[in-house]
Amino acid sequence: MTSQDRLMAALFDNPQREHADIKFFVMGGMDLTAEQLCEDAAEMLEQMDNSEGDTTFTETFAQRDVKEFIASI
Amino acid sequence: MTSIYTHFAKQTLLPVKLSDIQAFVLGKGAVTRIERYGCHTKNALMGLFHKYYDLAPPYQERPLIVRIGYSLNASEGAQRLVQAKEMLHALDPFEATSPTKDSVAQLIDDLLLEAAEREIGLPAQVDHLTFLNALCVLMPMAALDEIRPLYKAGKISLDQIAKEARLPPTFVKVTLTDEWRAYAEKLR
Repeated sequence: MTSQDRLMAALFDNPQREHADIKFFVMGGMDLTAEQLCEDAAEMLEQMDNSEGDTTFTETFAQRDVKEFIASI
Repeated sequence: MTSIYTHFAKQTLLPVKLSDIQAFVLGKGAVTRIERYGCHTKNALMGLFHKYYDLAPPYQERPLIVRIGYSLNASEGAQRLVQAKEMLHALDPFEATSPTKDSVAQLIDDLLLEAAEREIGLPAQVDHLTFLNALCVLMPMAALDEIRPLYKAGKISLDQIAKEARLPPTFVKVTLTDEWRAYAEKLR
């Protein structure tokens, strides 16, 4: 099974899902083959299937107004 | 209807919160739920957007789920940019999606082409451009209008701005150019 077959299986072979879309963010300036992209994507999907997703998108920083930022320089 | 770019353009609070982007996207009603997953990757894939209809019981209404994967190998700033970019894809029109095996294969083929090698499909064009659009959300116009003159005068450094926005300096630098405002204006 090629990496592309593995990616397609992850997207289309789960009877409890109907695939709607996929997008990728590839780091620019790096050589990447289709095989490597599919391998990474398939592994990412498998990691997602085997872990709990976060729906809070919580981050730990405090925001401040840009005027405060400028004044602090 | 307010676009996400118009909505965030007036913000002067930094950093922009990913949870605020998520809330805006969900408020548009385009998808039912957005989940994120920190993942380990081996090559150059930094992020992934996956959208599907959940057919599992007990659902009757086929909720539309978005899963965002981001590389734990990346810096915090890159992780934030990836997550913002992938969340924006939840708002893509159907024409820019890849819902079939053939369209996914075409997207992969298009993404790995050298620029200008041949014309690429709309899903790949959108995939290429959306990280710039994510920068428009994460570096709001109102905040940039305050910062840019001071940056150009040498009173604030790129690293200070990037640290404040919690984004990679190389990408923040793009938003500090004179041309950036025109690009951001076109999205509104």
